[in-house]
Amino acid sequence: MAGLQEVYLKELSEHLNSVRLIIMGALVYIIGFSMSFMSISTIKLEFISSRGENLFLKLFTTQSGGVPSFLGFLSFFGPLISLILVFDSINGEDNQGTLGLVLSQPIHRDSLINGKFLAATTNIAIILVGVFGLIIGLGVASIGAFPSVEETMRIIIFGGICVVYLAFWTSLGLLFSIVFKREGTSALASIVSWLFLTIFIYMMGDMVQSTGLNPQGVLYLSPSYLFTQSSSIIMIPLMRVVGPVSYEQVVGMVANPLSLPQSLSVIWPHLTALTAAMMLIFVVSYVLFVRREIRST
Amino acid sequence: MNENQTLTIKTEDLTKKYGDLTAVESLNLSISKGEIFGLLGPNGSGKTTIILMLLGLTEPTSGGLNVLGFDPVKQPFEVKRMVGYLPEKVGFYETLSAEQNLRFFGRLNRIEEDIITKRIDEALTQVGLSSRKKGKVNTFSRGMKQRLGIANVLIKDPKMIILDEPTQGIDPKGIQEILDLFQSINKEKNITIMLSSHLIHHVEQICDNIGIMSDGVMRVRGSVNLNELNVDEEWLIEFSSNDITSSIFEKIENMNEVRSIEADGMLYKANCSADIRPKIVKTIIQNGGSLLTLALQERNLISIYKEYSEEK
Repeated sequence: MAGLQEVYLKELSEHLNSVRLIIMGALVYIIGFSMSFMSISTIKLEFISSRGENLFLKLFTTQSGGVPSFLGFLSFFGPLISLILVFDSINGEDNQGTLGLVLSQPIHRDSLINGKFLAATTNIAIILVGVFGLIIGLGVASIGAFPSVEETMRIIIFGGICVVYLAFWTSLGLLFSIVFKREGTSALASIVSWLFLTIFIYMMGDMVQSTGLNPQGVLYLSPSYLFTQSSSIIMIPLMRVVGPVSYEQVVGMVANPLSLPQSLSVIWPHLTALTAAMMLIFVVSYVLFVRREIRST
Repeated sequence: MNENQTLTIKTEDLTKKYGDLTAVESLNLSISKGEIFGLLGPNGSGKTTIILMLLGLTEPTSGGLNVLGFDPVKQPFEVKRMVGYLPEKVGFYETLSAEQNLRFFGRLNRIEEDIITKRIDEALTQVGLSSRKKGKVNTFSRGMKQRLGIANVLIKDPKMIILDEPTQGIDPKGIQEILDLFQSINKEKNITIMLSSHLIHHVEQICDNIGIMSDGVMRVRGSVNLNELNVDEEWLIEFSSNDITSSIFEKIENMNEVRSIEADGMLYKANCSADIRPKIVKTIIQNGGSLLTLALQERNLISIYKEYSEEK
């Protein structure tokens, strides 16, 4: 993989110095902080009824009043971070005049796209680690306890799911930057796909439901749904079933929290689907880019 | 074997088609080591496509090619390692400085860090950008980016340099400096240089050999020295007269050397296989005509180039 390391490091430092990343990062930090701050007050109210269990997980998942949980925020807003980082990564280089220059150096052509993908994913992971640390720190300061081993494990797994979910959007943004010649077009395509997969698909789900059919067939097409469902199961141990529950299923159900391996086994299909979708899109962009012909214009 | 040592580039019936469009047709080109070769032709005549194929960035539809002893289709790595390339619309990472950009490209070539550092200073001095070493590329003008592109080529310490429209966007004084730079690089290190241009007088002064492209076909190939140019022997004689009778006209038309002649009012243009100006003068005078002007149209690079670029 000649050139991968060089491209990766250059992309990483370029991102870290870019205004885009600083703005997006700052936004995530501010929102993450304020959301978990809000949820602390709600958690304190529920403290007695919840017997003080899994408080740190609740920091990520509790809605307070009209403010969504951090998990909900990430499922909706996270994709935008990925897309903004990469929507112009290939066509931008082409228009800037660096693509021809880079590809005429002795490197493997796929090093460029691999390096870009890895660098964007690393940057997103860095943002996430920071904001997770911030939220947990806030929790430690206000609750006065440390997360248990299981809570820590769950939070780490949740972080992993976040990275995979955002990597899906990164590969989608990369694909658009390869398919479309202009940055403007790929930006629009990114926004449209983002709105569709995070908002409109839920409306379609509602529509399907109103006809009496199971909306999950539609909803499973959305990575945002897969992400929300799987991370909810991981972060809310009391949640045992994914999606709408029929009456027959509820009968005899015990309202006990699931253990971590059990939670994982519930969402395993979701994780597989999410990872597969991410890889599929990346493979498509990889093939398109490697086989693409450099032409004189 | 010997051929590989003296020839830097060799193509055999190199053809590139994009669908129905033939961008390059049966190109047979050979460039010797240490030569400066100018690829001339109007925009869209296939120059860039040839360059992209030589670098292994585009695959030829048919035909063979060899660059520095390697086949760019099968061994693009070796070719790219030895060939420095300046693309037509060269650009750099805007938010990085000149030095950072050069360093990145040096690293892509797996050059050792301290050698890169040394070469960056040398190359920037050579192209006259050493004062802007730390300047971000987004503050650079078009011409400065072009110079940086040339510096970037030098960083690699290439065996051969391919420049696509290197004089574009540079002011006349800068063009002269850059052409002089190419010439000195060529002389000092015996590096083969191939450059494409649609502006003939840039190329003319530094190239040893040129090739004129139009519509994907190399029409003329040869030395810049006109006598060696591989064109049909052709003299265009132009004369004007206001009393040429049809019998005089016929006499001239029937001369062995005259291929064709056309009249445009008082102006006559004859395409001849030899310089027969005295013969024409004699014929006209002896038959009672008079002559106002007589001239041999000069056929130099510029007129040949013009013919082919106007053909469309």
